Amino acid sequence: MFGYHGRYLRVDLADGTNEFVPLGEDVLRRFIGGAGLGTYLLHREAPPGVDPLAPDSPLIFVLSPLVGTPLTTSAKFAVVAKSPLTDRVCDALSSSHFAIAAKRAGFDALVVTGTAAEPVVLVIDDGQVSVRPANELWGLTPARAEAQLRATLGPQFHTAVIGPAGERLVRYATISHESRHAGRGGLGAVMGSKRLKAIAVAGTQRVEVADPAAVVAAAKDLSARSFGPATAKYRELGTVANLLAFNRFAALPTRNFQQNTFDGAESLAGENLMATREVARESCAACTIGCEHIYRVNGSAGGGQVRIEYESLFALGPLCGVSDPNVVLTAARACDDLGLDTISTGATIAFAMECAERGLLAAPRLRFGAGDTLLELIDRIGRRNGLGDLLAEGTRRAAAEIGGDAPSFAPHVKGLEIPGYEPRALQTMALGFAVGSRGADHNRSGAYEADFSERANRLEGSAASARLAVETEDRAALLDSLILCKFLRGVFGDLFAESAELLSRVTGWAVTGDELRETARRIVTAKKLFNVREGWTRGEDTLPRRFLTESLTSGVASGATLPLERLNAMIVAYYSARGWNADGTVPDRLVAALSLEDLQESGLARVPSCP
Amino acid sequence: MKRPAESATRVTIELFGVPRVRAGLRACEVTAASAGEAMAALEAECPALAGCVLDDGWPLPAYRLSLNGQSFITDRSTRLAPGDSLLLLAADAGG
Repeated sequence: MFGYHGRYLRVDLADGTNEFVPLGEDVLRRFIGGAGLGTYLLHREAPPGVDPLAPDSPLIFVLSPLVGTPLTTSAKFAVVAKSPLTDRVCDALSSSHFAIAAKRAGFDALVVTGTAAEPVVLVIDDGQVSVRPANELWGLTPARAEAQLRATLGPQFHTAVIGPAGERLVRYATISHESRHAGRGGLGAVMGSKRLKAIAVAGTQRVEVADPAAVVAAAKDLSARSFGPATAKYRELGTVANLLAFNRFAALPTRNFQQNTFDGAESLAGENLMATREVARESCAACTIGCEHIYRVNGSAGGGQVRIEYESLFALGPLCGVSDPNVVLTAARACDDLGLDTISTGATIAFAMECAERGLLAAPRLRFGAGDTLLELIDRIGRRNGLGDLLAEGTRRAAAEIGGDAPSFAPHVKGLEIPGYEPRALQTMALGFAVGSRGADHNRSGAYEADFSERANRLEGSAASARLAVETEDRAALLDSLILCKFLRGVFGDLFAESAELLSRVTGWAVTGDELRETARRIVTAKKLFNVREGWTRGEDTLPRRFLTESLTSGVASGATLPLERLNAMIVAYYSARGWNADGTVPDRLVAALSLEDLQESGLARVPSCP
Repeated sequence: MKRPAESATRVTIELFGVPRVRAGLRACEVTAASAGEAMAALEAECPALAGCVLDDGWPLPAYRLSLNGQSFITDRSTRLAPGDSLLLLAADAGG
């Protein structure tokens, strides 16, 4: 077998046992790796109805056939589990040396179950597994824990760790690696529930590829293309470039989605941050793009540094009504140190600010624009202190607790807080949010690309939006399973055909673009089947009432509305385009056509371990 | 979007992200009757955009052109009206 070890490692932290489990070519070809293979393993390993924070709930780290090759942006891994925020499937991706080291440790995926009696670190050294006490690491920031572990174990080890938020089961805690985060859906809380502070991996087990010369040639070609115009945005400014453009298009969520433009946008603009604060640009391992822009926090040498993306900038800035870049950058660094998803953190605080201004929460200092209160609340959330304990539950649960009208403006889908795309101003994206298996999600649906093009009327979505949403979702499913970075997507002419060629050179399989299109559809539907198994209902595929009843008030989108009837028409068309039933369930004939029958037998239907 | 033909008139081009950084301009005014004429005028005024943002007087596929933030245009012959704004930004709107 080329490109794979052909096995995954299962570790039970309750008793420290471990075993290697074979992965056959049939499974690997159907699900590739990353999010796809992780979804398959989640079906197999998660007991139906399991509490995401219970010992039996599996936490799954998944690599891919491309990891370890010289293909640019391929050093990525997926973390997959049932989300404690949404109670639905969740896959979150991260990058860099951990992926390469984990693959060299000798497995294609790692499944962690059970709960340790005390804080532990899971060490996997060339296939040898040990579970070691980690009491001295508990409470440390991710960066400090990583540094301490590498100092102890050696520089050949790379680590995935949780911060204080994960230890305290904040439902949107992240898993961190070298300041990057598998961020969405609270997988850090799943790790914390197992008292697993960190996973450290190292190894020497290289995986052969089918045609090494062809892979090198493809890597050179892809790297050359990655230096072109399609990635210039990421190299030169990073994703923070979105902020001013979104503001001009009246699509910048502001003050908990009450407004769609922000007066303070200029002060937070990526263009201004670059001119006044940027100190360095970095890249993940095996990446030629280099999208990470590092900024001085206080505009001076003594204030520290932080990298920031558009999503963090929007969520901790305009969404909370904060325009001071010092506050926003400090807030982003605090989230990094605690191990908090910045989107959910900012959205939950913005929601609380609106609750306070409406009198639903007795918190007189909690007001839009109050930067000191924002910083204080981030710390309280990470430590589950006072009001932070309630907000650590996320907007859906907090709204239910607060009561009154709060659920109507809690900004989430399926419990996952909405990213920085105003749904009423980007209505193909609104559909992508509503139907997303992970909840409101800009990384699993890139439907905003249609909104920012001539292919869709972004202010008046229609049934025609459905195919555009499906198309971007399928592309994301493929990229997340290969795994290649989405920032590379613009360099491909035909993503599916070119990916098939790459995969063929690595695995030796005669893969075609059409096969990968079907694979992408299979993966999206496999996620849906998991959600159905876990209790999904049609009512989950929607947006909060605010978005369906209130019109936009400013800028070029002023007056735009998204009536429920329009959204429902788009959703029905989406189900049809996916081949699903009108009620959103998956017909048996499609399950068979996509070769997904074995998933319906899943739930502790574990395959035998390797001898 | 086809619009009634008009004589050449002043329109504003707003630049976002890489186009803004490369050109060193937030916006500029040009005289143009069509989107194609406007982009050609921009390329003449900001040579730094040639080859990396604009090619032969039109945005590369990695960039998008919006008319007044209301629609996106791909046709050089799209007619412009007095006071129109053309917004030039990266095609990869996400992050």
